[in-house]
Amino acid sequence: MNELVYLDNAATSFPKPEEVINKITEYLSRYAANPGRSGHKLSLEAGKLVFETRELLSELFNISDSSRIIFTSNATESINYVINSFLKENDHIITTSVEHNSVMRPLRFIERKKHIKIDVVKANRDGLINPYHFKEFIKENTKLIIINHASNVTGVITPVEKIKKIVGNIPVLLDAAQTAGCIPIDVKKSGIDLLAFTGHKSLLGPSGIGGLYIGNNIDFEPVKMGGTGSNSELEKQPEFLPDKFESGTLNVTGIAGLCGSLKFLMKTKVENIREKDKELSGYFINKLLELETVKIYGDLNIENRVPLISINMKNRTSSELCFKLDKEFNIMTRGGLHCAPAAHKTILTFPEGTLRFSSGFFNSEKDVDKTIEALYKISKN
Amino acid sequence: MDSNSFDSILIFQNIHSVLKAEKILKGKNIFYDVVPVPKEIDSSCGMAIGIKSMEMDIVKNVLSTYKFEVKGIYLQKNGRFIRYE
Repeated sequence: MNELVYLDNAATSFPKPEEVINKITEYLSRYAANPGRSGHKLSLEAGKLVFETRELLSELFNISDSSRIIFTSNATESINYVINSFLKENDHIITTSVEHNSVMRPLRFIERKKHIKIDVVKANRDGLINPYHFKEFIKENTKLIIINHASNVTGVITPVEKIKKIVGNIPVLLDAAQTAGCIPIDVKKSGIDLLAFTGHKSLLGPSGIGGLYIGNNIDFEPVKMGGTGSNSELEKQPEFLPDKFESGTLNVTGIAGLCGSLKFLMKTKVENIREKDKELSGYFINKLLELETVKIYGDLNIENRVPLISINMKNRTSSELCFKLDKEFNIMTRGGLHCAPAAHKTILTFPEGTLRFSSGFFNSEKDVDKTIEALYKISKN
Repeated sequence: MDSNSFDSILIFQNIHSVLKAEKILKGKNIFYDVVPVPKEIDSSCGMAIGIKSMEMDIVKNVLSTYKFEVKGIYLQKNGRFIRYE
């Protein structure tokens, strides 16, 4: 059997750094107590782990108060919190045509339930968004702008800083599912009011852990309430963060893994990861361009892309390609619609979808070469 | 160290604040430790910061520089901690 080539990092990153496995093992074997619930040593150790992870995240995203980062299970949950609680009856929101279903499904639900008005800024066929188009849709009751930081279909990065300058004081929710950990994010510099991220993609942590940064200017009701380990004498939910939004015992095992991966990221530096990604993406795109039967989607400028590439091959469906690459060449990819029908409609690949290659920190040019060779062989059969 | 090693106890709204205060005090040449909350004090997160009362003003100054909110300060009197502020 061929050596495994994993190119499905946009779904979840693999392999994970050793630090992730070691930190989870350390927590589970040495101090797997409930953080913030008691005065004993193990509870304190667990509390320190959660605190340290929050502080590392605040350093990574340049957030001055780490208590404004709440842990959730993933970016989808974070986005759902905002859409379901921050938005009220008759509010107006602006989003883009390259959003994932983690945004579009809860939005379409509350559109009916709360009579929310939704305007969609359309990206062009290359997945590029013109920031000035946001201006045309701003209304008096525009409550929120929701932006996918990078499309999980085209890999094209949305210019959030430029958009924020145009929309002014209207809060921006940034879906950083595909960018946190692979491109530098600075919430202060970019003026991001709400940042939804997941731990298991480019942050290189385990699945089941993610988070939401809530800016000082943003307030909304918690979706879930319950025990927090604080103000236990009261039957009223605490007003202070992170407790307000973190009822019930946290996923400390997931947090431990994330702590390990964040340490790896701090040591490696996101800027260096970005450079490595750009180099490998450039190499990959150039090789794909040599294959006559392959069409690549999205703007090809690597400065505008995260390391994922959507393609189609003449006379082959994406699911057929995905299957052949896996079974015959041991190469893991993802075909179909990637839970983002809106993005596929934008680049005119709906309903057939595309085949997506998404590389990660641990991939090399050797992996690309093997993939290109496999694609060549498939195209000749 | 436990709470009896200190004559002053600072309590906070949650474990996050306790650990943030600890991080702020670290390296400031102040004698302190994170200690279990003494039984007569009501603070459900379970942890507090013990300090020496002679360093109280320094600690308050350091924490206020970071706009840090302390929920309560307790002083030890006859073996019990009494609310100070």
